[in-house]
Amino acid sequence: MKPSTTSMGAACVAALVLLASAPGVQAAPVSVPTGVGDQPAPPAAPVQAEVTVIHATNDPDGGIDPRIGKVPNLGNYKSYKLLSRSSVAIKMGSPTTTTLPNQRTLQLSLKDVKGNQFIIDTSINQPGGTAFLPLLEVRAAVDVPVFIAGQTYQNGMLIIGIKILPH
Amino acid sequence: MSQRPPAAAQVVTDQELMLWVDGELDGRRSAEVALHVQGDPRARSIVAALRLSAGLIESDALRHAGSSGADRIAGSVMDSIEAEAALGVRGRTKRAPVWPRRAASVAGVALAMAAAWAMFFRGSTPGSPVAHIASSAPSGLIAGADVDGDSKTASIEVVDFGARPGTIFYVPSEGESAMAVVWLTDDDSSPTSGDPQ
Repeated sequence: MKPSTTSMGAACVAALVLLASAPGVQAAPVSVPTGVGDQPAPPAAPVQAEVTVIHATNDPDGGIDPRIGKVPNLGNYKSYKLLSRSSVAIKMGSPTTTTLPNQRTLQLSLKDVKGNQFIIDTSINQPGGTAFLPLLEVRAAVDVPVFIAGQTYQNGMLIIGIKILPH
Repeated sequence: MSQRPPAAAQVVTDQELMLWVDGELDGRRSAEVALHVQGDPRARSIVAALRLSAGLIESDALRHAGSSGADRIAGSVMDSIEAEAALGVRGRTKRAPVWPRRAASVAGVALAMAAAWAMFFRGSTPGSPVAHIASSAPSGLIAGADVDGDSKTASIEVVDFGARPGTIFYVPSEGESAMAVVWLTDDDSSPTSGDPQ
């Protein structure tokens, strides 16, 4: 027996169970209107965001696509290939949809703007309509990426990067 | 000695999945669990997530152990050993064999402390960027932590993984920033898929 690895594994399982069992992990309180007389703030203007789709594989000849830029090392893959990079307008109220290489759809909508930070609601749906990732709410500033990883795709994994672009 | 129930009747628990990933099950049970993992998407998802998490934690612990002075401690102890050995020529040679074991113990404890420190206090930095490699100075964020006010790091406010196992972590980036990563298992998407045995 190797207690150290078991303990490490136990910590991982505990973390995963905690995260997986929570239907909605609330990390911050929901904002309330702060305008004069509690008037709701006017809808924020759409913002431009960049959606980057990367294919990570163990192809020994693939290398790292220099166009990718910064991306976290997730699992020591040998190859990182840029599949697509698109600019989308994210609006309040109506989600913007992007089709992923695995035919799932990435939905983005603008929930709120607080100063220089943008609250983005994200979800990934499967072709049948069921949710793969029901909800991910991110608070991010301009040029600060968030990555969604773990989807299997062609002997590798998809890494989706989402980043708000400057005005 | 109690009789073991038939293999098919034994339910594979999450703990057994964990032990299987660590290679700590006996051969027969390991084969049973491997068969179970092949046929159960939930088990595959858990195994994939465990492998990823273990790999990230291990690489991070080793990285921090290397930069936390553990090597310097071991080097210092070895210097003491050599000095002691030099003095021992004048009559204290009996102590010389003891010191290497102490050195190993001290180095081991230091390494373990560094690993524990990395795991529990720096556990939010389980990897490093692939391209444009950032500095080794992590931001000290914790997975799922509220990072309000840090405009250089995206903050995960709410997440609903649905029925799938998932996790959130932050990878150090340039300066004091970090990259937020949401990992959601999709069957066996582990980069190290396959029987670990």
